[in-house]
Amino acid sequence: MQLAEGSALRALHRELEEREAKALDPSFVSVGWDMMYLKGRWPLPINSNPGTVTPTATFGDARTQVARAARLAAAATDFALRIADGSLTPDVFKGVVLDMRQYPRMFSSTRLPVAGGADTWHKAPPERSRHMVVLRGTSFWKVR
Amino acid sequence: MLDLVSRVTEPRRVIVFPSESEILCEIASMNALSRTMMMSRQETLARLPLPSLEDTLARYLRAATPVVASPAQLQATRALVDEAVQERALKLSRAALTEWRLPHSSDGARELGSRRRCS
Repeated sequence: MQLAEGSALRALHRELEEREAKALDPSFVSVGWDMMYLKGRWPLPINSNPGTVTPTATFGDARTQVARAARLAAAATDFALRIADGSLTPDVFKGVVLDMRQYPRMFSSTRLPVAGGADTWHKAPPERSRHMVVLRGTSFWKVR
Repeated sequence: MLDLVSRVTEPRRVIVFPSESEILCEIASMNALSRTMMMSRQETLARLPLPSLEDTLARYLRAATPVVASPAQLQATRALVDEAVQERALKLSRAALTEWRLPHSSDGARELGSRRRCS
């Protein structure tokens, strides 16, 4: 398949090639990927992404259930603190080192809409990020 | 024990925008992160190869074929790609081109490349 010179698609693709030649971005998909999420006007999927699934457990009483929830919360907090101070070791999958840039966006982050669509993401400073939210059904509980 | 302090029954309508100093602190903390263990191997990441436009269009057709609703739509999709190849269609307006054009500096560069400091 040969694309004619001068078409709009060709012009856009040449821009991608020029950016790639100068290595302006971590990868050719990263800027468009961020634009897709940051400029979107749909509600943020706060309850589904990213997700973690734990094994099914049965509890004898509420006390052990609460203890399990507390340990889970403590582990998540520990993980968030390790992202914040950068002490996580880089991910390696089948011998390939993976990009770690998205980790700081896992906690205390949100998308801020700006007039004109030039949206940005924002990470709350530590003094404004001192709680977690627990969801059950349609109820949201702020825990601190 | 967990301390349940509040139950949010109504979505909050007030958006608290970050102050300039908060944004500068955020940038500074991202800069600091770039020198940590977590980011220590970023420079060694393999680059994702940029496919040719012809490859991209062929992949697009292959991916679209099983999901288009009808044979007529598939035919229309193929015709659009063919027209794009022969440059009869896809006369994007200047506004549409601007909309699709990528910003000059990437998000990653803004996060990790800036040298501004938290005051």
